[in-house]
Amino acid sequence: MIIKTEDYIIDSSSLNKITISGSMRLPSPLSYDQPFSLIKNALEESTDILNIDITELEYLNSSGITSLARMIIQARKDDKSIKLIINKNIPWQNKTLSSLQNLWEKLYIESN
Amino acid sequence: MTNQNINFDINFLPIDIISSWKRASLSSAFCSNLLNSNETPQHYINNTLSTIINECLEFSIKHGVKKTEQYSLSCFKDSKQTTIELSLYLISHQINLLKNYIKKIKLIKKNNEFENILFAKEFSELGYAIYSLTKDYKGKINIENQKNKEKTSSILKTRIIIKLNNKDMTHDYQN
Repeated sequence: MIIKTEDYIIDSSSLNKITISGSMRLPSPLSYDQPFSLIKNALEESTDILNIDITELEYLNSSGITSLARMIIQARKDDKSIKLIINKNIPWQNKTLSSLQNLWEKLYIESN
Repeated sequence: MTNQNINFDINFLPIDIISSWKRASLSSAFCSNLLNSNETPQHYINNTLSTIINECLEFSIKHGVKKTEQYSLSCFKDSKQTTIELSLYLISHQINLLKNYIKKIKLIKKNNEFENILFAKEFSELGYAIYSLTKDYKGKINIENQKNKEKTSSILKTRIIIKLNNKDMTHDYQN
């Protein structure tokens, strides 16, 4: 499934892989429920480590990071592994996201 | 030009229009470009400044009261430090909650405390951002407000001041 808006695209059409690109600055964590339902579904359906590729996601606001963190907590509850593929040249990704590993030991962060 | 001081103020009304939510993002992109037009590496610093300014604008729209009063956002950048100052109106009870929340976040040491900030009743959407600003960027946040003369909850003019060392915004890039 693909969600495409003027600002961002979320693509979960491949098994065990989600790609998020563009800019996500939605008003609240609740407003991420619908677009991030793709991550939730992909986690449930994953047969191996779920790769979340955000290398082309320029911005994600604090509501979005909070929602992403809650997804990671859900993965921990379901004992599902996640690999977050980040872009080291996008500062908030490179600096901010490493702390998410405090939430789940099977969250792996790979930068390219 | 990189050693010169750059500063500007913008005044705005914190209108509560979700359909125009994107304006906060567009404004933050504009401000970060203005503040950082001659800096290298430009894209890298722009991304950080835009992120912080956007959080300030979103915060003022979500939590600010007195929606018909002018709020202001001031940015000041010299060769060493960038200061972003948001001036807005908040309810005294919220100011206390926010101050306590920031204090609590600064003291986080254990993983379960870290997780709790994501599920706080108030300001939970800001928890991770504040944590990252203070830990990953070594930023400082100060909240100054008018004295509350009454014991009951009242509306107070408040300043939220964020300070960042420029080197902490460029460190990873340069290495």
